Amino acid sequence: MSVYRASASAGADEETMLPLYGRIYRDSQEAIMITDRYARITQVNPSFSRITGYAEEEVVGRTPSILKSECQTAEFYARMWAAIHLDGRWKGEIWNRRKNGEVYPQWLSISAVKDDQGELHNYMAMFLDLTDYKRAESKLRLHAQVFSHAGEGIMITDTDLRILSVNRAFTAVTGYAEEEAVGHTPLLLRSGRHGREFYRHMWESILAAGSWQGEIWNRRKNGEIYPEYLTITTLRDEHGAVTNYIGMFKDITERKQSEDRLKYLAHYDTLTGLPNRALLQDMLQDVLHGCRRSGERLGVLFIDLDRFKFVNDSMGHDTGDKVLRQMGERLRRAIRAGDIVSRFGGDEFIVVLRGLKGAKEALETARRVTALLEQPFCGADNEIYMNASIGISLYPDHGGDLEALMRYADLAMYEAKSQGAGPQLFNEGISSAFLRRLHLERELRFAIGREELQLVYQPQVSLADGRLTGMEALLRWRHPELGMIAPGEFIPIAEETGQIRDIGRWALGEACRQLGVWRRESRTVPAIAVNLSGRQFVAPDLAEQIRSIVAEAGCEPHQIVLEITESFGIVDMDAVISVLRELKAAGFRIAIDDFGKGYSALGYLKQLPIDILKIDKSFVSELISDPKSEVLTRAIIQMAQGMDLRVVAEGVETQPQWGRLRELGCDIAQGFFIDRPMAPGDLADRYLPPAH
Amino acid sequence: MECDIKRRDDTLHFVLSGKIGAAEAIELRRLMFPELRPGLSRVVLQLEHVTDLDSSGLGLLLAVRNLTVGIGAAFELRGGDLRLRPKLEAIGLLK
Repeated sequence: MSVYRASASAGADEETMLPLYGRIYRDSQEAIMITDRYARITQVNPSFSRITGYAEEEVVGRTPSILKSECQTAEFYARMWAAIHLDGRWKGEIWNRRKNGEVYPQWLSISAVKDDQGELHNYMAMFLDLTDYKRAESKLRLHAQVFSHAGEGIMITDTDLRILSVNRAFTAVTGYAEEEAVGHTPLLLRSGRHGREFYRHMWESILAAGSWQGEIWNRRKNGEIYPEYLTITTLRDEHGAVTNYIGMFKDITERKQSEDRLKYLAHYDTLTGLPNRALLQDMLQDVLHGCRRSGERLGVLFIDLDRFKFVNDSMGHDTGDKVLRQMGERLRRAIRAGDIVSRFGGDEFIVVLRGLKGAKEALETARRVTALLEQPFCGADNEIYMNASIGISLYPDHGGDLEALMRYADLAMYEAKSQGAGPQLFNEGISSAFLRRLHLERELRFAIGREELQLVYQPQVSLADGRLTGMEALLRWRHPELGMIAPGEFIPIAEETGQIRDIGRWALGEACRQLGVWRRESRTVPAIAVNLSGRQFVAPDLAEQIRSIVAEAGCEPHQIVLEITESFGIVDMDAVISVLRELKAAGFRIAIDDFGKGYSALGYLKQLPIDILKIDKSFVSELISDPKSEVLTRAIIQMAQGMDLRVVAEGVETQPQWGRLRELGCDIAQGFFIDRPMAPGDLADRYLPPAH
Repeated sequence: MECDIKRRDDTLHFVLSGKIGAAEAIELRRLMFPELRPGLSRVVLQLEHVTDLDSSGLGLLLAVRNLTVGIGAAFELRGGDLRLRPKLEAIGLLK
């Protein structure tokens, strides 16, 4: 400083400095513009021309308004001039226009140049083009805005991991304001859920690859632990030295919840909350793996509700769902800890019994489950009685893998359903029976079209005088290759597959057609009883269908007795009663078949519009040998008489049975003692003489 | 441009006329600023005869007002035809 002062004061008078001033004026990076006292430009330096695009000769003599951009207001210029008038100088940022029309920012300082007497001679304006600076500033502002408004939480630390800055999203997610977070390390957010190994792996990745990303559990200011997806990036200077770490994270609580929900949906049945088929298969794989090592025995119970579709179809899916929920709950209660219960689909459930001692234990459990499922279910506003069929397969007895065990349990379940005799343990016979059943099911579809079905008629006679009072039309199936198929074999298949609806319609039509034949032959024919399946009642227009079939055949309703079995309408008796009343009103007679075999409430008998009660043949067959059967038979007959119903005894095969029924006051008998079911021609020959 | 300066008691009147641009502003500044001394209670700027004002002229009026306020006197602007009023309003000299 002292050297400079010395040289400045010693020889540096203005005259000797003039060349230097000239070079400074010429080479200055700042534009310099000099005007006279009236603000007319007198000279400009090369930087002026470089920045504005105007050559000196283009601007000399003009005022600086040549550069005006209209970006500033009149007040701006007035204040600028006020400052110049008052203080002799002004400086600030201003937007001017280049010769090419481009508007650009500049940093401008204006000074009044006065002589020693204070007389104004010139104004000198110096300015810098701020375009590049503004661009950089704009970029920085943009970066700052991105940082500030980013949806992801951002935290910048120094190399000691001290937080230097956080953005708004950081505060929104963690609850910590910037001033609360700055100075701390990210330990502030530590949830305690991750062990030392987790962080060691994280830092290995950061140090080796410069970054890490993954899911991490952190803790908010309010103590809540939450999952976030975190990306940590290393920042380095131009020499490669680490300067900062940037942590960017997104709160993935909702995504996690969605994932958990999806996982749940993928593995659990939402209706019952039980493991679904997929999870069961996973679980069973694990269990089987363990069993192979430990030698543990397993039992697989395949459980299916009988006629569940009927509940859904007739009472609605809400009621069906309610039954399934209750079923799931009962099964859960029925098993031990460690056993597995799963909803396999529809009304099919699987129970896996672990640590089984033998088949007996599996059967006992299955019977217990059966009993539980026979308890009434709560419907919408009524009680629903259901039966379940259970098939059982055992590991390792019946198979060593999941697929085989499930298949065999399924087959055994079908056998249980068709036999109706309780839980069924798989055996080889079941497998072949199932194949035959599949074959019959397929063939049955074509039975009507191929005219393989036929009706035979069994006479019903008065016990008082032996005269024919009616006949029952019975279905027969003669397959061209398999021969006669027993009704007990194909009717359950038809019931289960729903084909019984078509078959039932065909049978009624055929009976009516036969009535027409006999009428044309001038034979006196009593009413024909035709069986109605419970499945037929699913059709909302059943009564109309029956009326049409009979009318189209030229028959009268009083010529037809419609037989329903006692137990078939248990699921929704109210709907059945309504249809039966309609049919009764149309002139049909209604009979209850197999009475006494089922277990429906006797109270329904009052509501059912029936004319005839048919005592189940099991009572008749033991009528002589079992006093209880006789008591029950007598009671049924007396009850029927009290209700003004006619009583038909089925399965009468012996003289003693005939005699006793007659003594008991039974009205009508049907069975081999009287006659076998026979072709219509035979029946006509024996019982229906032409009326000449 | 003309500038008539009248003083009555402690009130100073500047009566301006003609166009006021950069050149005129310098002259007016030389005339007016020295008059604005402490002791005045009111300074009145009469613009009835001013025909035009550029930014330098407007800057001068602002500077006069600031100096007036600085010496504790009241500042009053009178006149100013329809062409001038928007400019005066724009710089806040007309309320």
